[in-house]
Amino acid sequence: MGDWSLPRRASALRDRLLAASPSTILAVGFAGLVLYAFPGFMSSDSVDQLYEARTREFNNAHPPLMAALWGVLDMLVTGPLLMLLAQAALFLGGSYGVIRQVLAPRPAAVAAVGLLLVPPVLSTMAVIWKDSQMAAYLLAGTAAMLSPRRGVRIGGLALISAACAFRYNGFAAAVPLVGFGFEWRPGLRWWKRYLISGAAAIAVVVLAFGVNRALTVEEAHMTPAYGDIVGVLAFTGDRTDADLRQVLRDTPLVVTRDIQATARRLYDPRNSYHLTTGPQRMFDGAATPLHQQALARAWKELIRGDLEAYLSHRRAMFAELLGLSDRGLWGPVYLGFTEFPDHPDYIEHDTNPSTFQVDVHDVLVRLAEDTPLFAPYLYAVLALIFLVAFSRDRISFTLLVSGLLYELSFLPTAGTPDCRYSHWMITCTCLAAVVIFVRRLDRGRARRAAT
Amino acid sequence: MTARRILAAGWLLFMLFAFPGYLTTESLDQLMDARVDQFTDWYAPVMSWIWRLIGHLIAGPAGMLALQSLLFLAGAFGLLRRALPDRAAALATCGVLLFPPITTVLAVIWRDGQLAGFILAGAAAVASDRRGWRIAGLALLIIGATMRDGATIAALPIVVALFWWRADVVGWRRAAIAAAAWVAVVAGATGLDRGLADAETERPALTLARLDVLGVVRFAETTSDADLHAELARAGLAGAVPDDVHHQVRILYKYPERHAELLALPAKDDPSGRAALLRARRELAWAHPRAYVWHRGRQLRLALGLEPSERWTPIYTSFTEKPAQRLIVHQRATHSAAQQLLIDAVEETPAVLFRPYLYAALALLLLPLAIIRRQRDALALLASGLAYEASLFVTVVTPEYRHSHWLITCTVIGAVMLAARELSSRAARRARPAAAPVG
Repeated sequence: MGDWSLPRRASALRDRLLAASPSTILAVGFAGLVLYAFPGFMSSDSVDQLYEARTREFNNAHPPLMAALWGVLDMLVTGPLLMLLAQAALFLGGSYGVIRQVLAPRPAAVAAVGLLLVPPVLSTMAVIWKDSQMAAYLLAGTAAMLSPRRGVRIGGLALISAACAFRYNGFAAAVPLVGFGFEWRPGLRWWKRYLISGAAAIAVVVLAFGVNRALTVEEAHMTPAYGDIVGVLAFTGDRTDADLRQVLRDTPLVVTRDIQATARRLYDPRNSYHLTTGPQRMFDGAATPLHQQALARAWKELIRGDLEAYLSHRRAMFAELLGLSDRGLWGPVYLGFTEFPDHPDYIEHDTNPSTFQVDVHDVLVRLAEDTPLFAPYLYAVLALIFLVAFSRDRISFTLLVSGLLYELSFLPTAGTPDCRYSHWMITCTCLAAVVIFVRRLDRGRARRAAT
Repeated sequence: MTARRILAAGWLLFMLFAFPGYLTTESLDQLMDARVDQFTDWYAPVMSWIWRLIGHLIAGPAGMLALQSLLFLAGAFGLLRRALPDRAAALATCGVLLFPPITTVLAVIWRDGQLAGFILAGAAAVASDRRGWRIAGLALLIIGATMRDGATIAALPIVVALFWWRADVVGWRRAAIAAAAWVAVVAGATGLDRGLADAETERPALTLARLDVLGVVRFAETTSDADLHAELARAGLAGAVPDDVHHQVRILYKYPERHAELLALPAKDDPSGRAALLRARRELAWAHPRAYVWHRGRQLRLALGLEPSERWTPIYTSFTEKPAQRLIVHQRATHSAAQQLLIDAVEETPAVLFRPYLYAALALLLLPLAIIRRQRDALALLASGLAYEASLFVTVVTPEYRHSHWLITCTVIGAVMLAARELSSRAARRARPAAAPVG
């Protein structure tokens, strides 16, 4: 009868849980993410990329390498499932590989799963986005670069190059990782090491851009000009219509009277989509090369003419991105298998969320609304503090610099303040925190042991 | 490669063929029942209930597909490793799972796939050395037995031949305990079925009764229309069938979907009409036993593939049966290139392999061998498949290929077990003289 007693059983269960192998722990974490996201959430961006993956008509509106890889996986299993499995496996494997540098296998596996379960990390990793794919490849590449085997380290470069190709500003995350993290041969003098790693970083970025360019079938006119022009006009001193008509000549300008007043009325640091769409729009889309050239010229002229206004506009956008405004975060949690009603027809894919998915989503939404857990500024501040005060090792330093530089790269580029843009910085900050904490714990223990 | 990896590879290949699970109108009805939490006795309320439970974690068919295929895989492996070493058993399991006549039914979310999964896993567990597993096996058999009318019959040989309570209880005592366990399985399945059904429509029983009434009319050719009308009137079905019932039935008997034109099913709120139909079936069958047997024999022949049938679709690979259904259940998918290749390969399978009568014949041939060789597990499987198929004689309404899936599964696994042991004993016999000391 004693064998069946509850405390004994509970103790046996605890022992079994404590004795779980790292692979079991990682598998549980992996299954948890897959269960929450099954078969992979998709927004409008993801749907566009899946469509491109199937038609192979890669547009440069989204870096085409991700769509090309998706195309290969879609030939095996249609839809987002394999992309989800790939990003979950690479993220977990990568974070485990990095944490293994400072922790024993089992606690490293627990920490890797813990990192995945950090709410702002989990919510982005559940969606098939460039951001989640990039983070997964970057982490896997970083872990591979820490390997003692040179072949694996070079494989790491390939993974980071792929990650770099998933977002146009991905190089800001990749360069510090390769520049500080890559080692051709241990024991090289510092200048040789950094010369090689610098060259590797350049190669990684050049390769990423080259692959994307080679894959692009259709060139879309991608420009931040509309938002920046309106932003500068909103922040600059008063200008006459005649003056602005001259500056904006040949652009597809719709408004020809009260131009600056209209710009000030329409200006929104969170979004510039309405500037070119709808009846209230200020511009039409730049359909001809003449329009595009004129837009680029006007954009440069206006920025050069009042750099302070441009910086004020960009600071306002960046503050939105960091969650520093009162208007709330932009899409901190996403649950959807397609975004718009015509999407299921477009990609022949649709399904319903399970109760579990809805429940987890509700918890995440509550956390995003009621706590600062999802606020990117929190992680930016933490990253800066860690970097300045606590980071004494290459891994945490590299991660923090990578996260911060990547976040900073949105200062001149962000069009909307999507929370997912800050995913890499949040991931790096959390991962660096684990590394710093463990290293300090080890040093403290060593000191105590010495005394 | 380890046995586990072989099984994982086989399962992934199966999932590649079937993902996220093919759905017919029947599957979608059950999915909707699961979603609205209303279980009727039209199909299997337990299956809808399981679907509802799984739907809490994974919406749509993927969870059910994973469940039925993993149960099938585990069950087949558990049984085959009794006759083969682990790696060989894993290879054989993958072979069974990927054998097109078995794969095609298991790829669809049907009661038949669930039945095969639960009963096979139950059989493997019931044959285990550990009592806990054997009891779990009975629970799996209870669930499996709720999936179709004849499923309790399928469980009978398995429980009676394989279940044991304690190693020292043997002979007739073991058999008595096993028989009691089977009674418990039947009671458990019936109770579960009734307990979960929110609405008793009796529709399956009524549809069967109508088919049987029309079937008896079809084959009772010596009886005049007037006499038949009188018999039906006595049973309470006066004026329910057309005046020229013989002629009409001769035309429409083959088309179950048009049987309503001959004899409408009683409404939900018409208990006397239901009772009359059930009574009419019973009385007509007793009055014309030869016609009833002919009619039921024809249904069984259709199920065995001995007669051509329009409903004979052994390969079904659509994500929904009708385009509008995709909108109703929010399930939409397309075949991947790899999936299409696998489907093409399956479609190349010789049609003869999809003829259940061949498996019935093979099972009948192997049954005596299993008895002679005293292979209780193989015998249980073969008997289970044959008993279930035989139960179709009285239960089947619209014979389809999938109804014979359990027979095919049992025959294939039983044949592999018998062949493996036969080969191994021959090898042992050949090895014995060589091992004897020389001189």
